[in-house]
Amino acid sequence: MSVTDNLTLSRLDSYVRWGWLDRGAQKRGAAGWMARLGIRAASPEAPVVSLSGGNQQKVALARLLHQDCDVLLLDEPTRGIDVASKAQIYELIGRLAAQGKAILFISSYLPELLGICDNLAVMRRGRLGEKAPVAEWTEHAVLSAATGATR
Amino acid sequence: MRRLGPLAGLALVFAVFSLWAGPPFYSRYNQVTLLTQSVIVAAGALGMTWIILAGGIDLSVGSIIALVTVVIARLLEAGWPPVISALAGVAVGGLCGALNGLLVTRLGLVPFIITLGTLLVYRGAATGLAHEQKIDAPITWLNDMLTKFPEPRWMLVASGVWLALLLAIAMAVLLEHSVLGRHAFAIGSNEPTARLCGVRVERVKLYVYLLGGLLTGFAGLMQFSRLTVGDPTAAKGMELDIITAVVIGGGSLSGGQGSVGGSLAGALLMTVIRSGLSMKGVPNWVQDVLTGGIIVGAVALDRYRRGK
Repeated sequence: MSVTDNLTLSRLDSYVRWGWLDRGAQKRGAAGWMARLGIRAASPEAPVVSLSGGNQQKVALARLLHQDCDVLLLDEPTRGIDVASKAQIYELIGRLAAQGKAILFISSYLPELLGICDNLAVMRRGRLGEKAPVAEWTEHAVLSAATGATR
Repeated sequence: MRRLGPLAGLALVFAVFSLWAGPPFYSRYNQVTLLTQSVIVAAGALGMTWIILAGGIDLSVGSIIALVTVVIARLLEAGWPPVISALAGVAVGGLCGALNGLLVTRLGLVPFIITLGTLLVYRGAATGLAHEQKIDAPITWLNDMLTKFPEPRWMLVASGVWLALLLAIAMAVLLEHSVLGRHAFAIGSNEPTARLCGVRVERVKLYVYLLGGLLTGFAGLMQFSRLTVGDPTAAKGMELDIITAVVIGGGSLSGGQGSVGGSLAGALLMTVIRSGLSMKGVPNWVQDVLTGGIIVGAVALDRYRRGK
């Protein structure tokens, strides 16, 4: 599928005019999201599989943002992608939080958690453990909480 | 460019036969004949395009076509007007397609198995309804839908060809410019992801099989028009011709790819090859071997060009 189709798949209804899909509007909508997230593709019509991993991830993220929800659940959104794309995604998360959206960010990579979260909670063996503002956490404390070692 | 592949193939094959067989092949009369001959497979391929690009398959279309011819003949025989009989035949096709769709979505079995079953069920129903013989029906204007000499002459080709062309345009627009069409593509590309993106997978599939059944019903009407009788043994094995047309036209059996234009070109391509070879008096067995080779070669070339 093309980047356009992929990005707009869950919001196709918003491009329907008189019962028909307005392909021009759909393409413009997708192009807008591509610009906002810095998605690099030959064109909005390029197949999504032809994109790099980082750009594919950003397409998936754009599809979520297209829903315009107030709460976002991001499970490992930066896994397996290049450093530049990671930085863009962090920046985007910051902007979304500034707009007042609640973001539940799940990751096993400590530096990014300590870098972008406001509050941090640690899960251990499927149970929610300690939670506190991020300023009160250190890497060591997170690891201790995760492994069950006493703090 | 990718979309032009099947059309370019069609043009090439037509040119080759025109050079080889000469004027009898490229005469206007023969062009009309070729168009008229390919209507049944082309109409079936329209429906199959939807089903295949949504990641499915329908092996029961040949049986549906036979059942539709029998239903139309029975109704005409009972004195129903031709329009009603024809529409009822198409509706029976839609019903068969919807039943396929229901079984595929409710039982969760692969469409290959489901429609392998309904292939026998529908063929059996056709044979039973026809009491195991051909049903003679009164001659009506339905039998003129595929004539080579349409009246009035300015029509150039018979009404069935025009109807098929109209349906093809409608399907091309529907595939490209409707939510249903884009959802069908999404399901064929990656069903679990489409589901996660909020596509109502079961509902879309049901509509796709229903639409496929209606178009197959139209193919059945065309088959009846050609045969002038209801024949429960009609169109045996035609499901393979129809699937071949779609695949030659760029449809992928793993779903997510296919186009109306490609499938039509595929249907025409096969008619051109068969008709050209028999015009040159090539024996049937050589025709079969050549056609088989061309099918594999055409699809292999297409996949190679796409770099897969």
